Amino acid sequence: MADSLIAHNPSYQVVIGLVDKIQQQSHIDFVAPHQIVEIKTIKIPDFEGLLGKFNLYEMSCLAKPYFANYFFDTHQSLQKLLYFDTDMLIFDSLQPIEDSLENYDIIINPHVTAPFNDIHSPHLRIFLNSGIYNGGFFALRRSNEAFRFLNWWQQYVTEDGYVNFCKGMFVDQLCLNFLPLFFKNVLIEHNPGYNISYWNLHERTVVRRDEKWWVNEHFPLLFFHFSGYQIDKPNQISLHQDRHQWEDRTDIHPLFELYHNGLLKNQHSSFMQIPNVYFKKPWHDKFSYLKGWVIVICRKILKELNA
Amino acid sequence: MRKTNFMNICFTICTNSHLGKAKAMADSIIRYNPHYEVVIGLMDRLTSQVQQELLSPHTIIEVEDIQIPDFEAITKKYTLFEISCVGKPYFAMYLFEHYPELSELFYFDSDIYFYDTLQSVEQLLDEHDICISTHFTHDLVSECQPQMRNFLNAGLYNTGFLGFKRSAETNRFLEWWANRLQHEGFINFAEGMFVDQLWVNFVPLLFKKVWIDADVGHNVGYWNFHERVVTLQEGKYFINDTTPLVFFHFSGYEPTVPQHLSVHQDLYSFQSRPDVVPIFEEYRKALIESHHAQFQTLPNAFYKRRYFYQKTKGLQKKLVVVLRNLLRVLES
Repeated sequence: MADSLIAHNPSYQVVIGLVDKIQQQSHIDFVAPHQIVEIKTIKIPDFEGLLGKFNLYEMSCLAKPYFANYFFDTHQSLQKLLYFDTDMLIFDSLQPIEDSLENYDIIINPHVTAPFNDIHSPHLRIFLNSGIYNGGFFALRRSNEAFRFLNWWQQYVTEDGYVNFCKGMFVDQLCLNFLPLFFKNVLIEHNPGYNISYWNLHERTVVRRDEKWWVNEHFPLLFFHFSGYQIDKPNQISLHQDRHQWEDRTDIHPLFELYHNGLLKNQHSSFMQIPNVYFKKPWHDKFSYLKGWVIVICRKILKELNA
Repeated sequence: MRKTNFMNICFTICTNSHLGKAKAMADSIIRYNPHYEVVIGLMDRLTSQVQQELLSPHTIIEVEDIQIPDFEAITKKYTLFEISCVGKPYFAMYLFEHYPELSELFYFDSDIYFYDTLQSVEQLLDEHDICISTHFTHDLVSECQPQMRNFLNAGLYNTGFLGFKRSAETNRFLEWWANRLQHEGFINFAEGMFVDQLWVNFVPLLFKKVWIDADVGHNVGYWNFHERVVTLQEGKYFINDTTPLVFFHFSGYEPTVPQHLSVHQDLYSFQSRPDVVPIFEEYRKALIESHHAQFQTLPNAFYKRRYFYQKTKGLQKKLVVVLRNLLRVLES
């Protein structure tokens, strides 16, 4: 992700917020010129307490507002801050986002702008559970409103940053539903060139023209979100969906090939083996096959009970 | 007043048990807006137990007359509350079809009461086709109920108030909404469902010319008490001193439990909110006048209690807790 960003935006610095500890100096060298900031550096209040409450996924999500606040605090000349999930590739200049931040303090993307008309997954309802806006991208301008939002968000996820649909919680993302209601100068960016992923492929097509990627003919592709992509299943668009078949979406094949090669080049498979220093693999990980079945059965019973 | 030479309609939807509330609501609309007709969409049947003369001059349309597709299946799979929430898009489409001169249509829940003209409501559709109502515009941090996250389950917008202008976009929305409610109108937070209301989260994203109403004089309810205060000035109610109160939503208020301003919340009481006491007292009297107590006992013609479900509800709740805790461990 970082390499693709600076390939099109060489004036940017990419900082990787690490919800972990750096294991070896060679990792720092490998990731260069991008910077790594470990989570212990940003001194989250009651960090040990949070480790006891949340799992690894929840912790990775709630770290966003904390890191954002840290960067604004420690870089006084920083006017504009962009966040991208790690599973993205950037394909163009980010100037349009910077231009929008001249008029808005906060920018987020909706997941979809057109409904699905089928029974495949993901179902439209998943966004009613997990949030109508995608937490994989946000952009902030240094401003009172952005700080008001970050402080609110930080406090919110510290209390409610769990995965628990029936209690109205989904990590950092679901509460973003409140963003345009509680805060001013918020842009819900509908531009289809932003944050394309498996959930909005039904409303977006990609074409190559004049050495550039375009979405729906007219919109430059800014960034693609390869959510749910697995390196060992290169012809599967995402493990989270069954709506779009690989053979039916030849328009995005080149993008996925680029991403696949990028992951290979950056030794993704070997980094995946490194255990997290804060969260150990649970004991039941050894019984993953049986565990999978128990999970499926539990979910089926809950569905029958309408719970 | 706008459009006195065109038809103006508001509609509400209720079962027989809520006809008293609907009558109080409808009377309060036409008190300030005599050029309006109020239509009561009845998710029930007008049996001999219903004293229709008490509901005059308002129009009642029974749900079986609007021919909701697969209505029988709907009555079998949904609870009574879920059934009553299905009607909104279908009644809206029916009214647009059967009143060809109708250009705008407003929906209000039956437990709403009016205090002013609808002028500020009508203006919302000047430049827009669809109007929805946000629950609130300020965060509230509290240990009491409801919590903010409850609105992430139940919906950002309150479907107790909706505005529709006759247009292709409105039609597209109503058809989409109606299709959702055929099979996905349950209360099931884990599956991303809360009757008709949670679906409306999508409306500003999927449809054009949508206005999100945040006027503090509209749809005042317990969920926005933290940002709204009622005052009485020269015989008129105002919100936050300067905005006229147009309508108040008495969600969860039952005159048989007069000490609670809503059974759905425990943050506010009449002691902590003396500003709303006169409004609730007036509403309580209005419900007596509209014979609410008499209508309240009427059973619904469609909903049949599910014996097994009722008897094992407690056990099912315990099982759900166990399974959810197990899933959390296994998926960590």
